[in-house]
This record gives sequence, C-alpha cells and structure tokens, in this order.
Amino acid sequence: MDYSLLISLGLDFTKMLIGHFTKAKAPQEVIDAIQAAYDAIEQHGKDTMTKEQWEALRG
Amino acid sequence: MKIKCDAPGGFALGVIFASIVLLLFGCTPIERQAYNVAVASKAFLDSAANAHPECQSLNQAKVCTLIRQARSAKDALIDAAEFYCQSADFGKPGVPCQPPTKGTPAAQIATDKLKAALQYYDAVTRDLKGAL
Repeated sequence: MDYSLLISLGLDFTKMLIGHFTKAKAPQEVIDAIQAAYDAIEQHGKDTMTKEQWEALRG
Repeated sequence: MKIKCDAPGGFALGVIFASIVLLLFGCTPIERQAYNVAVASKAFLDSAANAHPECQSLNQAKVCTLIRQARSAKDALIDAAEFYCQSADFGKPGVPCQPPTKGTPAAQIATDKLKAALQYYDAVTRDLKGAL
C-alpha cells in the first residue's frame, strides 16, 4: 500500500479505508482496538494539551 | 466512525500504520500529532490489554511483552512532548501546550527529541503488528 497517497488524502479518507479493509479481514479484537483509538481521537480532538491531559495518557 | 467485522484475519493492523504515518507526517503541528498518537495509543493498548487479560501480570508471552513495550514507548513520547511544551506556566491548571520559540537552539532540540520519540513509537508498534 502506498501510504504517501493516504497522507495526501487525509484522515477522513483513511478512516474510510480502515472501514473497508477491516470489514474484510481483521479479527474482532483488532477492530475493537482500532475503534477505540479513533473514538478517543475524536473525543480528545479539542483538548488544549495541558500537562494534566498529557499525564492522563500515561500507563 | 463505526467499524464492523465478522471475519477473522490479521491485515487490519497494517492499516493502523497508515493512520500513524498520517498522524506523523500530516500538516498539523507536531505537538498535536504527538497528542493524537498518544491518545490513540492509550485507547488502542487499553483495548488490546482487555482482550489479553493474561497480560495483566508480568506474563512473558510475546504479545504481552510487546504491549508493555508499546506502553513504554507511548510514555516516552509523553515525556518528550512535555519537554517540548515546557514553558514557565505549563503544569498550572488549564495552561495549554506552548511550543518553544521557533529558530532557537532549544526549539530545535525539543523538536528533534519529539520526532525521535514518535519514530521510536512507530518502530515499536510495527513489532506489535504481527502479534495481535
């Protein structure tokens, strides 16, 4: 896969590709983990990156 | 975005790297890229750990070792990010990340350190790829 193409097209397109590929091949635990990662990014997208917020990501 | 899947396989982890690469080399500021990687990593690793409860102890299984290594790499990334964001008020409640002044030696050092941490995290995650 040419990742540079994905980079140029942006995150939304990458999300669409993730949906496409995972629908066909991935085990459920991986799907769940990817889902959790993207949900977290959307949830924390407006964070101002205070030290408290950074520290909450440890562990 | 809601992802659904019924079929087994292992390819999808490769897609994670597409998103990680995107996060690493996109147009957003490096501190935001690092934050997004840390956020995604935390959620991903927590989910992976839940799927492998045997990893809650110091299990030496490969997947457990790789999850621990990925957590360490994420925490090292946070260390580098906090160094990058360091300002007089950083650490006070509600004070956001303030990048160092561009063009200064301190900014170059902090940026290089943060880039190295991102690259190390990427390398560790590649090792995790085949284990899940």
